[in-house]
Amino acid sequence: MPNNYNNYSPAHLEYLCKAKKRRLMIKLARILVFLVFLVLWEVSARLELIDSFITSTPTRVLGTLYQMAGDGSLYYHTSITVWETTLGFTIGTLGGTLIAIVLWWSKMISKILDPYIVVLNSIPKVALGPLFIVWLGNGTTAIVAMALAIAVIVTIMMVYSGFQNVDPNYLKLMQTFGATKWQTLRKVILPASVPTIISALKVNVGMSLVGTIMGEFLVSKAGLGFLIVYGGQVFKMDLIISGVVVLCLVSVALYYLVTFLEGRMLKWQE
Amino acid sequence: MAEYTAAVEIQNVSLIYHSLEGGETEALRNISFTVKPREFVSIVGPSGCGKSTLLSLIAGLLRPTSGTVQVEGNKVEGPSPKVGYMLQQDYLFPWRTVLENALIGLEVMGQKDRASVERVRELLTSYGLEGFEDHYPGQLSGGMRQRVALVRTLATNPDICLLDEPFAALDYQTRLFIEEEVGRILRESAKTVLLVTHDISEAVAMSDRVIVLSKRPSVVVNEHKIDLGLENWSALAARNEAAQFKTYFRDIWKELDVHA
Repeated sequence: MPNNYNNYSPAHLEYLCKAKKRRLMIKLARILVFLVFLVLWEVSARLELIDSFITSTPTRVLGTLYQMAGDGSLYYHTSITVWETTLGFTIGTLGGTLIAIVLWWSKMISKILDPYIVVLNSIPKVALGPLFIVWLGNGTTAIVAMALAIAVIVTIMMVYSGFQNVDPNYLKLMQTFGATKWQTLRKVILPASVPTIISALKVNVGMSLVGTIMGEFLVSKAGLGFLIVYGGQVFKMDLIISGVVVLCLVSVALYYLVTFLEGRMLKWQE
Repeated sequence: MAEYTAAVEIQNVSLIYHSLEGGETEALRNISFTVKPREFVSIVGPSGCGKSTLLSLIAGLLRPTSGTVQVEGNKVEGPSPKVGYMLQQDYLFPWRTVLENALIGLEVMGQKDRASVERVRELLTSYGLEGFEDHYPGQLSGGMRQRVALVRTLATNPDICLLDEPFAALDYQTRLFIEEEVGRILRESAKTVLLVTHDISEAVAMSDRVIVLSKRPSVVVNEHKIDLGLENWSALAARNEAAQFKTYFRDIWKELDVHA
């Protein structure tokens, strides 16, 4: 795209100007919605229109976060959750992709395992939580297993269907050169599925986080999930909402990390 | 050099497909023909008549149910470096650059080295793709992409090129232009060419000989030796100037026996 504004006609410049204004408007409106929400929340709590014991207030949440940042507990719990999520996410994605490769490699295996994968996909993984705790102990391992269980099945299904959607003519082309299965996998199937694998990553970030929080709810020793459950048990709404706020920030950060990776891996799509 | 008089020899070839839904489908019935070295032969036939199946047999992607397929005197047992295949569309890998796409065959065959890369670069240059080596296919026009696909096929230096309706996806003008160019390149590089098409005028304009197939189960209806009396081969001149062009067209049209 030429970036030289001198080449544009006045009409086009006006069009660009309008488009720019509209984008700015949307951004401002988004921020405004958030601010209005915060102000209404705070004001109605102060005027005692709502019970701040149940709803907490933005300033108290900020205060809690500030105090937790001061005594280091904010960093401690966040880093534990991020670490568990990263583990579940990485192992889930790698393992899921590996299993998808096995399924692609052998049609027979994929046909045999098909119903099992469908069933595993549809059961709520949280139901397996108590099993994981009994088998793996009341700690990080069980939590990561929870995250993994959620992430891995979705990855298998998404990546395998990505493999299957590769245009068969690409495979025919490779065959005409006498390519081996391994060559076809490495030079066609995997690169062609990079966009699918990245969408799987995006889904997995969310999935692993869900799994981790569920695990922390059940195991309850540390992490943002523990913080939220603990807040509920001792009826400290400030703590619950602070936990949720941090969780929001964590999930957004992880999502953008994956989006950043996507941009670097899909240069050819520009 | 082995002694052979036929680049491709098809003898009494039949092919029957089996599938759970469709049952048995007889695609080819007792087909025989030969292609001499350096000959340009087209196969025309109605859609779905098994023209592409024939190419797959010669390329070693399929085995006939009965009969034999020989390439340069040897029975076809699988894909061979002697045979190059151009598909209906360019099927360039969008994540590979033009040069990387052109090199895929050499890579797969383990023949990619400095000399072969240099040769492919020269091919790209001589087919008007200089300066585009590091572009991605998405940045090229349809005609250029088809030329990259041709270079990819020629890169492994096959004796025989199988073209499976390689111009079908192009718009009409690009198609005429690329036909001319590809025809000239293949003739100059002295390849044996087997072109499959449903376009009669393309077949007549491009080839030394046209083989007409019937609808399924396909048999060979007739063969036409094409002699348009042109001094230098040119697909455009064949279409525009050769007096016999229409006659060939009409004869083949009748034999195809099309009922829409």
